[in-house]
Amino acid sequence: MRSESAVLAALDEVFAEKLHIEVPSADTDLLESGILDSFQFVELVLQLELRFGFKIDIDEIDLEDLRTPARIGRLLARQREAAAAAQ
Amino acid sequence: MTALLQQAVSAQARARPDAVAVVAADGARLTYGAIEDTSNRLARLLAASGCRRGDRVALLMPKLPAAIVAMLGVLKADAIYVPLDPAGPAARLARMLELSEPAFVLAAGAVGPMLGATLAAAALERAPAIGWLDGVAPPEPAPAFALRDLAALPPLAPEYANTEEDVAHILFTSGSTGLPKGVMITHASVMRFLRWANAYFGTAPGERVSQHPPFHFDLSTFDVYGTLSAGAELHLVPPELNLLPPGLARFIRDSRLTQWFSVPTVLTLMAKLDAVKQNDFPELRRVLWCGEAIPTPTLIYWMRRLPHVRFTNLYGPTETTIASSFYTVPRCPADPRERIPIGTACEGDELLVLDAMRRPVRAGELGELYIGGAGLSPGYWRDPEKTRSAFVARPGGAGPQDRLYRTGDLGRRDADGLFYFAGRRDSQIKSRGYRIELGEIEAALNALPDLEESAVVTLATEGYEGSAICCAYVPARGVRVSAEALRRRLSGLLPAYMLPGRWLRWDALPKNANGKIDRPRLREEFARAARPEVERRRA
Repeated sequence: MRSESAVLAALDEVFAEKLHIEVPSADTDLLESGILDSFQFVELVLQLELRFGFKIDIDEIDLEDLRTPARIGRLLARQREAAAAAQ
Repeated sequence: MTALLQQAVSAQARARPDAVAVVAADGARLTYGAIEDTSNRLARLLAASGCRRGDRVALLMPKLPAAIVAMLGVLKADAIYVPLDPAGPAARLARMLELSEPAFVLAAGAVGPMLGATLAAAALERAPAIGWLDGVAPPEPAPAFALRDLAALPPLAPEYANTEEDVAHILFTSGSTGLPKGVMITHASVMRFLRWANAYFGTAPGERVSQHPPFHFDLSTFDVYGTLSAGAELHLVPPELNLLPPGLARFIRDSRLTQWFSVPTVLTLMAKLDAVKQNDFPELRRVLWCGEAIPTPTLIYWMRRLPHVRFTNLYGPTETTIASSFYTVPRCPADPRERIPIGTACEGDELLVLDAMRRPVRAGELGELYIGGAGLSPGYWRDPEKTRSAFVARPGGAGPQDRLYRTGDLGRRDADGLFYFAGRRDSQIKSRGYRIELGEIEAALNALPDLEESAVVTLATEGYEGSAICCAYVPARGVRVSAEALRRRLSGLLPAYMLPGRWLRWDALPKNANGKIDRPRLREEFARAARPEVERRRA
């Protein structure tokens, strides 16, 4: 749980400081609302990799994993654990 | 005789009625016979509903097969279609409706709220009739007809009064004063490109061709009519896959595409996340891009991964129809700094580099790119002034019909006759393949109440992204407003691709000796802010 909330906090920072987008809540649908576009998504992935120091396995990602900040948070927490376990 | 676009498609429908013409994002397949019959019926329904030759019909639809049927149906009614971006925003679409005064709006899919908001925001003398071509129509705005009404009509092609010199569609592009401008495209202009392109690329029946750019973007014209006039399959790429470059790669793989055509940005995103495997997409024959210069590192990535594929750069503004020049890259560039030429003119087109007096410059010298030939649009919809300033008589030419389009692009021709793009002479930019007038962004910013002043500049970013749109702003006295909030408000006025990605708050914008905003200084500050070691916040 700890890593998940840390990821959420980092997400908030990246949204505000790097992408300049306003995400009202962790359950906002980023795809439906058109808040996130492809460029910003790729930027988000690269920024999170930079921040957390592990490589995100993009092939393992499903579109549904990206629908809300909460889901992105869970996905990244999962990937982070997998990355840690692989080391 | 195939002088009109729809006739080129009908010829294929006669030759291969049972062949697949369109593959939808959900996998549904429509045959040539089916799109022919449905579009014939739609043309008859439009005519029966009062659609006259030369009437405009706006299309507001997501990427659905219904959109292809709608385009053909409108053409078969001797009318002109105006594709609108289903992503809006409504305020901008409303201006396009006011300018084009459509007699009908054909809608499909989940566009009900956008359609309602657009009609509410548009000042129109006569409300257009709504035709709903897919799914269930919302109760408001009430449709005049729906898909089920088509069944009552005979599936026979009507007689056409149009000739190839008539306008087939109007495509809106960004305008420097904040008002989008409509480029009129004739049947003949598109046909001339298809004749060259389908011969050059050898597009054959049964091929599987991508349809990636949105329908309001002129590249989609090539996908749709190039494919359907060749008897090949058009594969609609689900737009949500854009969020996930590996998803796009999977789509190319699973659909066994033989041709991929998109803006370079899409190729770049796939490269950036390393979505293409070595020798991936074994059935892919061609990768084409247009809309802006491809970053050479992107091209190197793709050419190394896919040695079996032919890579072709196309160049040309909307005003000269799809593309005017081409360059097939002969071998993988050795140096990532190498510039990729825009090549040589397509058959029937002409490229010239002229100086400020419109005299030809010598090989190697910088000038402005002008385009002549059969691709030239008759001009901007109901805007003779803008038309006159962009479409000029050829110096020493055969009169007013002998026109050149002044692109605003700078360029040069080398000793071998290859043309190179070398930037813009004005503040038009390309971002993610979209053509954007910075003036349109500034006009939208000026419409926001919370700003004292603002300015938009662009910053060339390293390698991949192309131009980053940067906004410097000064909040109105006593107002606290964040960049995120400004961005959100701006998104009600501008499409997402026009929204600035970088923001800096100032207490007052820097001015030069003439009292004008010091844009070079702004660019410097944005460049400095982009470097991670520098503190971002400004005092």
